[in-house]
Amino acid sequence: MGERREGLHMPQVEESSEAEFEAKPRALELVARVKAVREALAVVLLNAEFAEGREAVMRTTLNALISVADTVPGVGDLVSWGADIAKILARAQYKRQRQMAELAGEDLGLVKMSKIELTPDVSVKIAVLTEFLEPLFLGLLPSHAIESSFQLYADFPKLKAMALELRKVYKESMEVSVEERVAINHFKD
Amino acid sequence: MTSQEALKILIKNSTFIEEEKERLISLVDVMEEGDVKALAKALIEQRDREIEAAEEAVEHLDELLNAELLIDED
Repeated sequence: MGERREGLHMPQVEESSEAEFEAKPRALELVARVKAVREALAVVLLNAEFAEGREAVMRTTLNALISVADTVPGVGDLVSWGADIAKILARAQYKRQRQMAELAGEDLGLVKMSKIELTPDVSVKIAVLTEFLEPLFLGLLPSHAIESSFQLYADFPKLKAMALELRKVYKESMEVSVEERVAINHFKD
Repeated sequence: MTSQEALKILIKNSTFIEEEKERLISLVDVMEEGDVKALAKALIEQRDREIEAAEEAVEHLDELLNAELLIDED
């Protein structure tokens, strides 16, 4: 059984009959497909240009979910207020870490805001004040959508940079070199 | 160009990781002609599918980027 698996992973030429080998390209194709996806993901996960875009996508998704939940009176308010409390705590922690780094003479650039702060470009004032609009609309107003919209506007350049970088990666993968074209034509003739 | 040489080029340009490319390339010279052709066919079909998928992805990204540009203009 173990030998068979290895055979699927790479061709065992000396043992293969033509019919047996027919099945192997399909396995190779599957392996190649999985690897292509994995490599594309690795590009997205490892590229520094994608780091900010990735965070922006995560933030946008979570903010959208919270905004939808915020339309439900009661439960929605809890979620929305939860996000605001997380924001306040994250900012306090960030401030404290910066102070400590400053005292220790460390690089302040290494201090990062916690990921639980979902609207880092929106002030606490706006986030909290919009919550007070909720009672006027009987809790039906998705107040979190207001700060989410501001954040989305601030995230546009990061999302655009990521989309452009992804486009470049895909474009490069579409290029067929002259050498490759000659090789393809050799088997098509 | 021999079929073996052409297949090595296809393997070199495939999406396999480098280690596997080297292993496959080392086997090409001992493969039978039928096996060479079958593997080449699979690799070419796979490459076509990748290009097709990349074209589709670029199309979607262009749509997204165009939509975003419209928002920027507003």
